[in-house]
Parts: sequence; C-alpha cells; structure tokens
Amino acid sequence: MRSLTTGLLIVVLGSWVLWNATDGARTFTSEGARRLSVRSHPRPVPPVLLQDQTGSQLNMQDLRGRLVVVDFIYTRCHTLCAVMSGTLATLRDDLPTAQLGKDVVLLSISFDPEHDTVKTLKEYGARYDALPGNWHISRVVHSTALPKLLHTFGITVIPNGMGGFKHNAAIHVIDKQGRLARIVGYDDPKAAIAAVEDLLK
Amino acid sequence: MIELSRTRQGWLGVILWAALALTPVRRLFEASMVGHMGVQIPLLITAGWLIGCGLAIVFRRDFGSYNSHGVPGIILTLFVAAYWMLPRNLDAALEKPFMELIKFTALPLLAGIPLALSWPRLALIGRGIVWSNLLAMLFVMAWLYIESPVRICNFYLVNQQTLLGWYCFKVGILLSAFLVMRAFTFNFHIPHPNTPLSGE
Repeated sequence: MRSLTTGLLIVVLGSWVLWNATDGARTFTSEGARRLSVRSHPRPVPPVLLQDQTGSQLNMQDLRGRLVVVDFIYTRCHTLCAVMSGTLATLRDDLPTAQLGKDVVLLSISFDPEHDTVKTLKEYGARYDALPGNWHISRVVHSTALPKLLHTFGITVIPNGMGGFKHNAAIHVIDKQGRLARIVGYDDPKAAIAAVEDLLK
Repeated sequence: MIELSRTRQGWLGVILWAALALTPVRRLFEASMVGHMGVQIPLLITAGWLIGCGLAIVFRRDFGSYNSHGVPGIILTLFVAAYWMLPRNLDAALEKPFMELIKFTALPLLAGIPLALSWPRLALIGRGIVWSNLLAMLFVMAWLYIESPVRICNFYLVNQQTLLGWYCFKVGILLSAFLVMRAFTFNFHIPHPNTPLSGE
C-alpha cells in the first residue's frame, strides 16, 4: 500500500514537473519555449540606443507605432546571418511598397559592436540592397546595453573560439506597442510575412 | 570482473561525483553535446548508482515497504532521466548556475541512488521493460538527432547534434549486442530481495 502511494505520488509529481518543463507538452527546446512565450506574453523591448549604417542614432522606442522586424547578426558571419538577412530581404521584396518604412521597418542588430563599425554595417547592408529608410543595419551605441537586449529577445551568443560566434537565429517581430510579439524561423519568409500581416491587422 | 566491496563502491561514487563537479572537467564535458548528454549525464547517474550500492546496506530495510519490487524507485529514476533529456534543460544548465546545481544533485540523488536501491528488487519483467525502453530511446534519439534539420539546443550547433545521434546509434548497437549475449548466458535466477548482500 505504501509502495502504491509512493509510486503514484512519484508519477503525479514527475508528470507535473515534465508538463511544466515542456509548457504542457508543447515545446522541448529553449528555442520553441521562447517562441511560445512571446506569443502568449509579448515582452516590452528595452529602450536601447542604436546606430545604423548611416551613422545616425535611433532609439528602439522611437520605432513605436510601426512593426519592426528584427534579426541579430554579426557582419563577419556568412552562414546563419546570411540566411536570416536573406529572409529579411525576401520579406522586403514581398511586402507592399507602401507599407515599407511606414508601417513596417526592418532592423538588423549586430551583437558584435566592437568589430562592426558604421563602415562594415554599411557594407553588410549593401549585400542586401538595404535602404536606410526601411532597413536599419545597426549596432548598440553602448555595449553595456547589449546583454539586456539579447536577454529580452532570448538570443544566446557564445564566442566559437575562432573569432566568430555561436548564436541562435530567428526572425523577431515587434508589435506597434513596442513589444516582442512573434518569433518565426530564420529561413521561413512566408511565416515572417504571415506574422507581419497578422500583427498589422 | 573486479569485485569491490559495497562500502568502496559508495566512496568511488562520491569521488566520481566530486570529480565531475570540478570546473575543468565540467567545461570539458559540456563543451560538446556528446560530452554533455552522452558522457556527463550518464556518469552523474553512475556516481549516484555507486553511492546507492554503498547505501543499500543501510537503506535495505528502511525503504523496503515504500519501494516494493523496486517499482516506485525505478519510476523516479525514469522521470528524472527524462527531465534531463529535454534539450531546453541542457540549455538552462549551461545558462543558469542554479539549474547546473539542480542537475548535479538531481541526477545522482534522484536517479542514480533510486536505481541502485531498486534494481536488485525489480522483477525480471521490470528489468526487461527498462532495458527495452533504454534501447528504444537510444535509437529514437539517434534518428532524431541525425535527421533533425532544426537546432535543438541554443548552446550547440547542428553538427554537434549529428555527432550525438551517431553516438546514440553506436551505444544502442553495443548495448543490443551485450543484451543478446546476456540472453544466451543468463541463468534466469534472480536473488530474493532478502538475500544478504555481500559486504555486510
């Protein structure tokens, strides 16, 4: 009898822990977890001062009222970042021209502000024909603001020991209220467009 | 096979546990997915199992009525092991020192020790279920990690997943070979739970 009670207790407790650890059997990875989490509880984005490819400064808060599609990059990266920015380029090409820069702004943020100067950001933007009016290729002005920004977005960046970084990749959409509201796959322009259209409603 | 007394097994477990917790050793194993999931976690369970073998002398009479046939203990082991197989918990252990501490305590204390205290009590059919579960899980994980185009852990790259997948596949093959060998050499005699344990 005692064993039965103990066994049942373990099963109930264990199931409860596993249920919570997977957000109700919906996600098994930290990437999936953050996507679910921002969808159900959009997170306010901290007011971070950025500098874009033209050298001018912009505060993330100033972009309120428009949807901001964000990816995190470093300009020396030719793998994941290239795919992510390619997705942004596709999104730009597929969105109605009237919306670009007005309702929707694209924002690439470098997590390597030491190497990524205004000059390299400009070169990076040129690879994707990014126009400063609708696509800011930027870096943080004060690198002390970077950890909080990355933490809010759920981006993990680790030096890979060869001068580059290991990092997770996704396309993030900030809603008009300045909250991170959607995260979609970095190689999925269709999902990105769907998220933008959904939030524009 | 070298026979160690139960007390020595217990101490060996404590030493293994302490060694795994040393920062350079932790860094070494956690640098790769194979090292983290395929070596460190199984070794933490092993450390607990060795400690449990030492404790078996102390606890055999006390926990017996709560752990009839070892079933509740094995269930606890399976739940704790399942928790630490979730990719997001591996990420969390690397990101938050608190979760790392939980990993280092939960795996030996709540998976390894219950395993050691329950396995000798477990009926043949129960052992068969545990073995077949483990084998099936290894091959499913192998398939998942080799084929997954999506990165499962934020701290590890996709090529690390592929390596872990092949590692699981190889361990699964070795384990199957071992079990087939055992099947032909096993004498199907399970000692009664009340049989005195050596080393007492």
